Amino acid sequence: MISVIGKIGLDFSAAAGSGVTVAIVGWLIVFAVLTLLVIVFTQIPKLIYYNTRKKLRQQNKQAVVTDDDLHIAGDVSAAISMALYMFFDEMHDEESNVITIKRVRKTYSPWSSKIYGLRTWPGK
Amino acid sequence: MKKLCLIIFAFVILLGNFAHANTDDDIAVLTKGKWVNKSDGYKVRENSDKTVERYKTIEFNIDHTFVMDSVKLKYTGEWRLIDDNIYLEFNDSDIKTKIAQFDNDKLVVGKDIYKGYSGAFAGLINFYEFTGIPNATLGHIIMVIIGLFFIFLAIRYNYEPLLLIPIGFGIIIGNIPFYQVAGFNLQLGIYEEGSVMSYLYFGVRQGIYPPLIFLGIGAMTDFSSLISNPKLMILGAAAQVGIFLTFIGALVLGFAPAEAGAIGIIGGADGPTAIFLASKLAPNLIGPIAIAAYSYMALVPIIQPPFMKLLITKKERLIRMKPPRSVSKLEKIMFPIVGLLLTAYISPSALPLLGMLFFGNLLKESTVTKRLADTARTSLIDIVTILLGITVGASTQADIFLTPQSLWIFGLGALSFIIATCGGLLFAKLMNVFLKGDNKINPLIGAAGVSAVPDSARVVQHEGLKADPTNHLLMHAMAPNVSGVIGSAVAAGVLLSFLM
Repeated sequence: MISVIGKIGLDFSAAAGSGVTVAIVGWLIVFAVLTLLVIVFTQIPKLIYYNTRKKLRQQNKQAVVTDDDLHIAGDVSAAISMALYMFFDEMHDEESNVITIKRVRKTYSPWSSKIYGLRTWPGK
Repeated sequence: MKKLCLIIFAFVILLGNFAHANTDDDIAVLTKGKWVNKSDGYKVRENSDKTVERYKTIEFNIDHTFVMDSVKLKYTGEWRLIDDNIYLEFNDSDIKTKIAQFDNDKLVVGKDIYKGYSGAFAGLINFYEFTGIPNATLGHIIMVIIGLFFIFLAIRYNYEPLLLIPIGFGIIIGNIPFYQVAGFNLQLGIYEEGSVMSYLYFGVRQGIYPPLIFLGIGAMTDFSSLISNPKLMILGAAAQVGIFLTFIGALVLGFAPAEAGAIGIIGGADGPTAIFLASKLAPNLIGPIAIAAYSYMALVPIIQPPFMKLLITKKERLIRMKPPRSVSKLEKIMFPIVGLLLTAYISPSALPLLGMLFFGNLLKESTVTKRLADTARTSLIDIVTILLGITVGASTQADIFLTPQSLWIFGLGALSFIIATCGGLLFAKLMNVFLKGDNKINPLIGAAGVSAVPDSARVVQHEGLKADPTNHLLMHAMAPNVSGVIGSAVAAGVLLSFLM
C-alpha cells in the first residue's frame, strides 16, 4: 500500500487551472437549477389558488387570505381520510335488524332426470 | 579382476552405443503417448503485461506425421529421425523446421523441454489446465472473500440487500478463474467478446441500464414532500459539493480530468448516475466506480451518523418541523413536466437520466397509466437491477479490478461521500440562520441531500428518533433526498458537458 501511495504524486497544478473553474461553475449550475425549481414551485401554488383566493376575498372583503388558510397540512388530510374510510367501512354494521327466513325452491331441471337415462329405448 | 572390469566397462559402452543406435527403439519411445511441455510467457490478454504458464503437446505418429497442440493453434507436419536428431517439418510454411533431441527420458525441442506421458494422462493434464485450480490467483481469492462479505452484510445486517446480493454474487461469478490466454477466446468471462456476460454487461458499458433504473425510481417516488416545501430542494444542491471537491482531489492525485469527473460522481451517492457518467467519461473505471458507489450507498447507515453527531448539536436535533401541506394532484402532475423542462434545458447532457426520471413520475402521478407505472416500478426496475448488479459484480475480475487505481477510487469515493454529507448538514445549519419561527428546519435532514434514496432519509429518521422518540423526520428528509437525485443527475450532465 505504501508503495502504491508513493507512486502517485500530488499535482496541484492540474487542479489549479481549469479543474477549480469546472468545480465552482459546475456546483453553481447545480445550485442554479435547483434554485430555479424552488422559485417555480413556490409560485405555482399561488397561481393555482389564485381563483380560490379571489373568491374568498369577494365573500369577505376585509379578510386577509394567507397561504395557511388555503393549505391543509398533510396529517390533517390524513386524519380526515382515515375518518371517512372508517365511517364508510363500518356502514355495513348498521343492519335493518329484520331477520327473515325464506324458503328457497329449486326450479325443475331435466339435467338429472331418470326419464332421459340410458336405459330408455330410443324411439319408444 | 582388472580384465573383468575392462570387459564389463566395454560391454556397458557397447550396450549404450547399441541402445542409442537402435532407431526402432527411439521411434517406439517417440510415438508412444504424448510429449507435454509447460512453459511461461503467455500473455493473459492482448493489452496485459501479466504472463502465465501454459501446456503444449506433441504427438508423433507411426506414419511420420506429428501434431503440435499449442495454446491457440494446432500445427501439423512430418518428422524424420536422422542420427540423434528428430527433424520436425511443419506444414505451415511460416514456421521453420525444428530439431528435437532426446535428453534421457525427455525431448528437447529448441528451448522447450517435453516430458512423455500416456495419452490418457496427457488428456488429464489438459483437463486440469482448464479447471479453475491452476488459473487461480491470490487476487481471485481476495475478490471472492469480498463478494462473500457483501452477501454477509446484505443477509446479516440487511444493508441494501437488493443491491449487495446481486453484486456480491456477481463478484464471485466474475472471479471464478478460468483458462485465459491472449488470442484464445473461450467466451466465458465478462471481458471476453461474445460471452453471455459480455452481452449483459453491454447495458452497463453503454449506459443503458441507468436510465431504465431512473424510470423505475421516477415511477415509485412521491415528490409531495418536496413540492410542499420547495426550499428543502436547496439541500440537494448543497450536498453535491462532495462531487466537485472530490473531482479536484482526483485531479490533484493525477487522474485525467474525465476520470476525475467520473470518480467525483461517487459523492452523488447514486449508483445509476455514477455508472452512466463513468460509461461516458471513463469506461475503463466503470467496475471500481460502480462498486464504490453501491458499496457506500449500502454503508450509509455506518458512514453518516458519526458526522451527524459531530456537526449537529443536541438542541438542533430536537427541532420539530412544520408538517408538510397536502399537495394537489395538479401540482403533482405539473412537477415532472416543469421539472424536466427547467433542468434539461440547463443541463441537456443529463437528459437520459432526467427524462426517464420525470417520465416515470408522470406515469405515476397522471393516475391514468397505472399499468405502465406499475411495470416500471416493479418488474422493469427489478429486472434491470438484477442485470446491473450481477454484471457490475462480475466486472470485478481480479486481474483487472485489483489495481492501485481501484484503491484510490475507493478512498476518494469515501471522501466524496463524507464531504457530501457534511455539505448538506452545514448548509441546513446555514439555512436555519435565515429561517424564523416554525419555518426552521432540523439540520439532520441535510444529510439526506446525498441522494441514496431512501437510505439516507431513513438514517435521518433513525437519528432524529434517537434524539426525540416522537419527532418523525422521514417525510421532511425525503424532500432533500429526492432533490439529491435530481441534483446528482444535473451534476453528472454538467461534468459530461465540461469534460467529454
